[in-house]
Amino acid sequence: MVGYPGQDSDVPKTLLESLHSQPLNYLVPKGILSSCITSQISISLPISNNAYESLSAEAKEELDRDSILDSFSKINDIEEIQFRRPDHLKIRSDSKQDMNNNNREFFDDLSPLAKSLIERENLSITTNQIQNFSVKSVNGL
Amino acid sequence: MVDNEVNSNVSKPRPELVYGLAHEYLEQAYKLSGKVSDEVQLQQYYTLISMGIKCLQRLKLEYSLTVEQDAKITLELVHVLLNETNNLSLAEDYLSSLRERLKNHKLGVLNEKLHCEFIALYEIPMKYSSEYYYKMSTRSCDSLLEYLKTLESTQEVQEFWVPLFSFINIWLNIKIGKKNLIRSKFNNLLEKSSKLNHEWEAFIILAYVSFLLDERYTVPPDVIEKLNEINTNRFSPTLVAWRMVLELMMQIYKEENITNKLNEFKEFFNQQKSNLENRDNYCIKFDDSNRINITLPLIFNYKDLKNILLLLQSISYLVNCYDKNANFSTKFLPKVQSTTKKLIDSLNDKSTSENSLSYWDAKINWYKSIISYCNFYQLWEQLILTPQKLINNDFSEISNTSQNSFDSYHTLMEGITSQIKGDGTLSLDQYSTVVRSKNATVEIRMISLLNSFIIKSSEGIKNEQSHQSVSDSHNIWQQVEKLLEESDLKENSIWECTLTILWVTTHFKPFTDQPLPCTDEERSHYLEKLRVYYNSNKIQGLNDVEISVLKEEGKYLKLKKGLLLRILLNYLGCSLFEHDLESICKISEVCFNLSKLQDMPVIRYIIGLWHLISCTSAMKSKEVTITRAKLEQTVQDIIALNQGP
Repeated sequence: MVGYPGQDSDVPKTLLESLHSQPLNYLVPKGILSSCITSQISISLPISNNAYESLSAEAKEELDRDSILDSFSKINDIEEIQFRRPDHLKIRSDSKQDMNNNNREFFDDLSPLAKSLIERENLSITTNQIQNFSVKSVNGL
Repeated sequence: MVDNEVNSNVSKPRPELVYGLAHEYLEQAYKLSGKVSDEVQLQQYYTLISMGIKCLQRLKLEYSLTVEQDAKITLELVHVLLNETNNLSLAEDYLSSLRERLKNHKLGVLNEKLHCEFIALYEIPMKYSSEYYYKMSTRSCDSLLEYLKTLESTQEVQEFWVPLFSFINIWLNIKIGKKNLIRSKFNNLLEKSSKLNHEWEAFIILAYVSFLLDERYTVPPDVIEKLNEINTNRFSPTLVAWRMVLELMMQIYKEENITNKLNEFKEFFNQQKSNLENRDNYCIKFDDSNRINITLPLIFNYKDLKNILLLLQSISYLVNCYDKNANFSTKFLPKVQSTTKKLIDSLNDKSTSENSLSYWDAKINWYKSIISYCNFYQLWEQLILTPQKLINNDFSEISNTSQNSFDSYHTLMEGITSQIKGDGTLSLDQYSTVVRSKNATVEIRMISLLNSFIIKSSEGIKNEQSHQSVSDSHNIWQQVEKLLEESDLKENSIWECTLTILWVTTHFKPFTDQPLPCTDEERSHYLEKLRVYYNSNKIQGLNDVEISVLKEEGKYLKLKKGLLLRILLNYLGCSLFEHDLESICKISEVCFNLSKLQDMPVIRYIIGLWHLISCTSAMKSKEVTITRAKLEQTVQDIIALNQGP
């Protein structure tokens, strides 16, 4: 063969040289599949039965709510609890952070007693009681 | 004692009331957990949780409880503390004081005692997720099992708790990396479980196969046989779906055709759709009081399962993305992404759920991983279709996941990009980071090694295969062979064929100017392999009779079509084994045309030269002229590319 295209250029002339800059693109790694799907198995034991029979609605009616509330106000914090901040809270773009929001929608369906107990206790968890979880931050490890 | 309390605390509310309130607060929180989407709602959620905790704490502090009541209340309290708070040590304190109290009761509280052990050995180490805890728990779990086996008289212990803790023992051994013991432990447990509870046995089989796939170990035939028995006649569709996903994954790992399995799924959904639920867990009942809940979110839940199947299909067909008639990944990957985003959004809309906020948080984390995987595979499509575009990518979208194992995918993409740029040194560096990485999977280490092997041995040519570069190539090759032998990659003919192609390319002229040294045995071994792959996959297709002859000899190994693989195999095989000028010319022509379908000008140039030689020898002057013109153009393209924009 008398001369061929690219003969005098430095374009690779053998297959091995041409593969130098051509990764083997058809070897698609697939191991992700098992780690994302099947290794998420976890087990748990349901706690069966209740420690007490639940009170009937009539029994609840008979209770003297004020004295109950009084007795609850004696509850002291046994230990400062630090709640776990979720990693992916702000997932909705339209959610607004309005700290002065007086909306207490999460308490709406509670029974009158449960609701007034929260109010009476004036217990409200604040932002700095909700912290990211990391093993380091736990137990001073 | 009871009298005393009544007298001193007249106004103290009845314990039933306090307990009822605790449940009311916690149930309300779990009912709304899916809705939490801003700081105010988060604070309200935790206010409810904290009220629940206080009520439970109060019961423990101010009331005299029977040991059974104390156990139930403490277990509930520990559960809430572990899931909702960072006060893991407080949970541990409650647990250990309960264990002390239970210790003093010889009879009747064995189940409570063992429930405590379950939390101590499984739930707490999982929350800490630290090697130290896993190791400590492994030892405790060993001695607990020894102890339980001595309690021969209690049937419940042998038939429920021993299997449960045997499973936890395996889980802990996986966590501390003692993987050589796992297979025999699983076999052992499987043997014992077969007489107990058929659902539990199925669970162990499914978990065992999941482990093998995750480690990329071969699944032994007797296990596959047991897996097959998990069918709808005897089992809930939830477990059957899990079995089918595992089988699909096994096929994908072996690069087999998945069409039949997909049809099987279609049929399965037609029949079982109404029985598949939108929940993440499944309960195995041993008897009235003993049950185990299994959670496997992305498979048990019908909507998630459908999404995952689409992801699996995309990945299986990814190599075909250049083919307009079979580019499923191009259509499906964006669909998986949008569906996953919808699934995340729909979590918020759940008005009734039974889970803690931390559960949804973890689930969103999985969803985000899926989105990252889609990004990664879309980059891989780019690598196949438009590799030059990868060069300016920073790959930040693939590392956007909390899974450590994904870091090495990121590094792999960097290595690949450096290789495309022609920066061999940098790319060798990045590939070797992947190979050394503890989290890297077998496949991506293998890909890194094979690409490194090519770079090393082709750079060796420039200095006439110095002693050093020959021994470097040799070392990499040894690692390649070892990795293949240790993993399930040996069951996948694409990997074996690739190894053969690379070996031949580096040891024979004209594929390299400087063949690496080898023995005669090695040479005939690889040539024979190449012949088998070439015969089964050559472009000038075989007729049915020829195929059945090869099949009978066990020499028919049809490969899925990866374009580059096909070109390489046919170039090598045709050059070495074909003698008829007409057919050589035909094959080189097809390869030359194929090389145009993907953006790989340098490969196209080599194949073009080969085609030019074969038409010159066959004296096809018209074809020679056309090929020359095309080659001139290819040379111009490569030069332009090297000069950069």
